[in-house]
Amino acid sequence: MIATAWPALDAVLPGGGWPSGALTEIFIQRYGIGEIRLLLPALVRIAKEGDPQSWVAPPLMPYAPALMAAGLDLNRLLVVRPPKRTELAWSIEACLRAEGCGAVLAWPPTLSMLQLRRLQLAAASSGACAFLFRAGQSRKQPSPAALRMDMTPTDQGLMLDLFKVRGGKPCTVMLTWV
Amino acid sequence: MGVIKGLWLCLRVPGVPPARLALQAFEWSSRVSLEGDEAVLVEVGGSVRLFGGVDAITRQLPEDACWALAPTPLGALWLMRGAPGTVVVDSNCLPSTLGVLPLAALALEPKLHERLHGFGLRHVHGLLRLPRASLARRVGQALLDALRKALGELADPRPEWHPAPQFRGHRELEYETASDAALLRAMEPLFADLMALLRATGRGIRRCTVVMSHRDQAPTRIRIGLLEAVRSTDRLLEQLAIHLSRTPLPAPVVALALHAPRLELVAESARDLFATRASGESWVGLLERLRARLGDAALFQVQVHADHRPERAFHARVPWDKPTPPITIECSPHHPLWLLPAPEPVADTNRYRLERGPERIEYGWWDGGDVQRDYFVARDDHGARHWIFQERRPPYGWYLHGLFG
Repeated sequence: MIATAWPALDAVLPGGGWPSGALTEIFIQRYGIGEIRLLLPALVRIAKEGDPQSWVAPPLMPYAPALMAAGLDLNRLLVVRPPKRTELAWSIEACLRAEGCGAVLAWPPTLSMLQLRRLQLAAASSGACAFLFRAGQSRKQPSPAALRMDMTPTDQGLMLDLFKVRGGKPCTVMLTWV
Repeated sequence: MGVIKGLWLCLRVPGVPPARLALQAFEWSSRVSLEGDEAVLVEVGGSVRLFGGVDAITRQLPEDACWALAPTPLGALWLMRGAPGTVVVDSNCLPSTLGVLPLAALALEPKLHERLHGFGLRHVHGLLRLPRASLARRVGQALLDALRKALGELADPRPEWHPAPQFRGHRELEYETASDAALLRAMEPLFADLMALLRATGRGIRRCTVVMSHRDQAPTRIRIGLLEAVRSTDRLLEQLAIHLSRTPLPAPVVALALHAPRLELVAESARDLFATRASGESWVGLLERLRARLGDAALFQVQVHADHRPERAFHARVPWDKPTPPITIECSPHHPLWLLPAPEPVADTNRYRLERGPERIEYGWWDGGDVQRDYFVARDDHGARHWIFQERRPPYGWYLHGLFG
């Protein structure tokens, strides 16, 4: 568990933060709604504690100056861009399995149930937080993820619809950007 | 008789070339010498003191090994030939112990051997009993010198053997195979030989080539490159397994070769690349796995670069390069977390509601990459935040440059 640093969110998550050693699926319709900003406090803390993180197949170039300004140690961030789609699940799993891995963020197009299970096991083996950004249509797929949520932008922040919370109750959280 | 402090192991193992024995022996002692292609001589006095007893050495020898220990190299050689398994630690015991050896243990030239036989000499003590002066006359100065060397009366410097600065190993397979698992198993003895060389030299390797020979086909070469010099069969086998799974073999393999052109110092260099608390090896291991499977271009780290133009304000660098010293740059909290590969023209500005701006960025007129832009944070009609700019020169076009992820 690692605190999200969003009090309204920490209040409803079992253990009071993002599940570690488990998958978190975030369903979004488009990029640029604050999907990284939501994770950033936790990512900064993970890097501060000395743990590396990997971003696998990000849709755009992570903008180094803004990440650095947010406090993220860029030396602890590895970006992986598999040349083929078919290598994606393998790459996420390899990153998750690496001993000492703090977090993996990944943008997979599709994942089978079998692949999701393997990723869940890999996350459990290293204790890493695994965030999968997925398109809305995968929402109906059954999944071993500990946390699954829809993310939609509001005028002042985000609406998070936590429709699966292992060890907790589904709920909706409104976040306001500070 | 001088006091002899050394202790020499003479060792022969049927079917194992002395050069390979020398490699293993080099782990116990840096004073190793080859006795032709018959045996290897190792000065183990230091190791015996270090490990507390002769047993510590002899226990490690293979069961079918033929060996002896003596304070002189020649003494050990003769004992190995004539009374294998003998241990003489005290040089005062040398004359009596060597004395009972048959003359055959000296491996003399046949003519000389016959002549001595003709004198009625059967054992070394026959020689030792003769007065030295007449001995030189009757059997030659060379044999007299040999006796004195064996007894420790005459210095017996030996050319020191040193491990090769590179590794080349080869083995024919007993049966042809194209199975990855079988090939990996078949590689193990070659890797074991390589490890022996690396342990002996205290070095590691970063690069090696596995050559798989086929019948009537050009051989398949697999090049393994690691991020740091290693001395680990597991790391090499893992890399080979990844490469094998991605290399189609044109035909079954009949022979294997392993070449490592350079032995390198096992450095800590790559370990601190990530500056993480994770054990360095697991992260270097991850980088190696990813790199072997995805290629060099698939991995990078980002770092900032002092330039006001967003498209030049960062560098992507390969993760196994040393990080450049961090620079601190000022970045507005109103810059986005995602950048587009290149600014994209905005077709319809009406879909945007401007939230913040303009932030004027003018830079680079001196290097030809001149930009004059007014940046805005803008909300699109789906609620996403975009970073858009307007050119400050005709035709004053609008562009999308980043997303507030």
